[in-house]
Amino acid sequence: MPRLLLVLFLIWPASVLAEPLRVVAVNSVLANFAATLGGEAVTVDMPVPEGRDPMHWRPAIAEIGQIQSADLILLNGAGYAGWTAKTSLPRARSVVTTKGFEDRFITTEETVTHSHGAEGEHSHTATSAITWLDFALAAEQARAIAAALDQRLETPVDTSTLVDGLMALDAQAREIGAGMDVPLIAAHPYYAYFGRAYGIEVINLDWDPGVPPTAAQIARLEDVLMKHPGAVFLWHRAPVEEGRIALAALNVQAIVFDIGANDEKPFLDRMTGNLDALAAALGSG
Amino acid sequence: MIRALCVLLCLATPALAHRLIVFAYAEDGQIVGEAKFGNNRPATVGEVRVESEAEEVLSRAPLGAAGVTRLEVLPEFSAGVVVHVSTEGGHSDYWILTPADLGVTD
Repeated sequence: MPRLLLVLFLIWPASVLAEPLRVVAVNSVLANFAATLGGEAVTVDMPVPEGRDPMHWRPAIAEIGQIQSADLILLNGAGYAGWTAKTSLPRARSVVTTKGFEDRFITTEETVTHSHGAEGEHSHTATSAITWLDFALAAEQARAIAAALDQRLETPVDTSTLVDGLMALDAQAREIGAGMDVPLIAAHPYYAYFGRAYGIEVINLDWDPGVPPTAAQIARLEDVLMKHPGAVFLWHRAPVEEGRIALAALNVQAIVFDIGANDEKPFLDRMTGNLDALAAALGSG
Repeated sequence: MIRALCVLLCLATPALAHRLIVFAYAEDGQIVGEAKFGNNRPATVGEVRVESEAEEVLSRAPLGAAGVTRLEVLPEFSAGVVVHVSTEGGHSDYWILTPADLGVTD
């Protein structure tokens, strides 16, 4: 009997016996990519609580300890999730998924110029971090995850389904952009990569969907609409009723274009829904 | 006059305190904090505070020469700490040390 058990142990597929690779991701996008690519060979954790923005969330120290011990840590890069630059993460087990296209980051000059000390007058640049809304770049991030998984898993990772899906999104977005003659108005500056990739002008406001817009904010929007009648407004999450009413009063087509950063829905489904909603809004304008 | 106004502006607007770079690690029973500005100039005028997660100040010291400050690791640090550095010019930054970083074993 022991010999039989030994033979079974030796011939049983190693992947069945091995513990799943423990992966932690800084947001739902990378978590979804890892889960899609790794299947049963991985367990993926995205520790940001529901409703919190992964870009600005900071884990508790005990949570950081758990993240540090993961088999693979998926980082976005481009300054996303600032806490990851404020603690030690094991370099050998961390993947910066945008490392392959840092030369294509979008940087903006911060609007405040100040002067102090020996540095004299200067302003600072900021890097736009929501890289995955350029779906071709999202495909590169997916490939970076696949490469990291390939180094750690017994079975090669098949990227075709996910990458094909991302490139289909890219094609759909490109078609939408080609047909647009109005800009998008964004409640928050999340759409820089989307705008650049698909040739769409994006005018950024600073509205919080969870807070009723102020008179000054509405006045600013009215100014924008004077110059760009028919522009479509993007919320990054569902607004409070006052926000919805304010836009309706101005006859503005508005949609929720969820960036998917903290999301239960699979990325491809979420973005397909976003693009379909955008196309519908543009078509009805 | 202009410099004075600019310093006041920096002190009054915490949002401008964002170009200090802090790194910390544990070594030989001490926390070693290193603070420099984005142009690699060490930060030498200011304060280092070691805080618990609940923002209780557990230890503090002035910034050391060459931007390096050492503080003794205390038993109160065992759950992990946040090392805050703030400079006279209104810049601030922090670094998180977990129990594992501090060499604390269960």
